Amino acid sequence: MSSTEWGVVGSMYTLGGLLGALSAGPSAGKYGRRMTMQLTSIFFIIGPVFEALSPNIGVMAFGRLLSGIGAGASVVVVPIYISEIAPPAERGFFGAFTQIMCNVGILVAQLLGYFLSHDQYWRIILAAGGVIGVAQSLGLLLSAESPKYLAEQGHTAQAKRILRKLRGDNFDLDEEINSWGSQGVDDVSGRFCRHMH
Amino acid sequence: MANTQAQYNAVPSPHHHKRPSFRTPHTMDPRTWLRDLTPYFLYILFVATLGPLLFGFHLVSVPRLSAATDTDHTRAS
Repeated sequence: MSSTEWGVVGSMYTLGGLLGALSAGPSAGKYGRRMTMQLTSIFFIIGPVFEALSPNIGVMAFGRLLSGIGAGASVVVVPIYISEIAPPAERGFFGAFTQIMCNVGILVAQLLGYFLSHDQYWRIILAAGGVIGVAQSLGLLLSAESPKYLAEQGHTAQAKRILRKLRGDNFDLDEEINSWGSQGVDDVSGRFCRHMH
Repeated sequence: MANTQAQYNAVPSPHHHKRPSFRTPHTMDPRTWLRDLTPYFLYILFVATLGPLLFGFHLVSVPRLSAATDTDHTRAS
């Protein structure tokens, strides 16, 4: 493939990332953080299917667009989700895991590329991304919606039950639950603004 | 378990039985930071951060292929 064609394939990912990032905020507010993450994992599965099986550059670019939508959306919704499920005192510490795992993903891709960058093995590298997407999709089945989001939607009892499951029995949850009501709306809008930059 | 409970009680707190979760950092000792985390929380954290992991994965996988095929092209010619 020519360098121009590689450029198209590469930039489709960026374009998808833009679309995903712009739609993730509204989706996370309307359908919830968990549902939005499940949607991103569907893009993470279907995108690599097109990439790994691509007979031509058009299909490859389309697969990259789908992967980009999932990636752009997940880097918006996952920090929101983590900040809501993490213990308030350690919110910053766990927020860093978004960036850490991003770097782990780069490392995994580089390692696979180092061992598999000959003949048709590149299809396996791209398929590996889809396998990770399947793993996330299955893993999310056992996950829980953000308790803060549920509380904002009025499902207080369910929110308390999930928070108890997340924190264990040794935590006093009252203060955290009470803080949702007072600052919930302002907090979420402020967080979206930060992600826009 | 009993030892963990003793550690909670050793921390001066208005809540004598339970550690307040809200904006109360543990200590400066990193070994204590993970003591209250449930396996379920760590599981959810891992599954959720697979998304950003895939962001990084797809970010470099195709440029990596591009570089690899360029090398092959150079070798062939």
